[in-house]
Amino acid sequence: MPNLAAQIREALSMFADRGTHPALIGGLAVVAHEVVRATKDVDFLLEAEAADRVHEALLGLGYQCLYRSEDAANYIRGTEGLDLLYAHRPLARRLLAQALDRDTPMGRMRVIGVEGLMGFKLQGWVNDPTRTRDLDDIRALMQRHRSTLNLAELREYFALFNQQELLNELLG
Amino acid sequence: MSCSADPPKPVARTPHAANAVLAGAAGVPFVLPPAAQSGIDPFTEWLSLMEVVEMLCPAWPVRDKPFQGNDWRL
Repeated sequence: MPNLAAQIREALSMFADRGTHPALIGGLAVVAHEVVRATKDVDFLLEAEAADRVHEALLGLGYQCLYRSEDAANYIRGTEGLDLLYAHRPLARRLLAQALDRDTPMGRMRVIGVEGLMGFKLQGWVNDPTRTRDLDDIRALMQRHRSTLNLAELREYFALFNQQELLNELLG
Repeated sequence: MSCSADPPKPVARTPHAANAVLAGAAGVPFVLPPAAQSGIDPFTEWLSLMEVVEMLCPAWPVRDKPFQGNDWRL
């Protein structure tokens, strides 16, 4: 099993020890929603109240903090990366609360819903338009889940970033 | 040794066929069939993929700069 799986197991164990249960977001959540691609992005959506204790725990595990704000943090440990987004706004808190448990080869973990994942991917792309990977993921998720997507929820996220035209284009 | 009188005809490549080849060769994300039909766990599929990826690319690029931008609305 790749080291990446061991890294995720360790992170899940640390989260549980600290009494928090973040939701998987980012590239691995894309995989969870049945669009399988190569990724080493270990990204979690974490309740903002747990930010300090998880920060201390990650440092204790040998991670180095590259960046930390009230919205996000990046950590690295050698060749391993781990990113956190902090849920402190109502929408992110709602998405975190609605994340569903999944049994995976790395252990039981919560995974954000597909609409919310697309919302976070959109946020990533709006913040850094060079991240075309985010748009590709949105397209692939749209293709995979088109028939079951909650379009009203999706429209809410695209409207939040004034990207309604992009959504219409993606929906064809 | 005998040869066929008619040489093989070139196979016409439709746009669909061309796309299929590119999808397999160019890293376009693989979309699993619905789980209920395939029974494939996407994480298991991903772990298999990453085993090969790590063999081919042991030094995966690590993010060396923080998140870009400050437009956080979610």
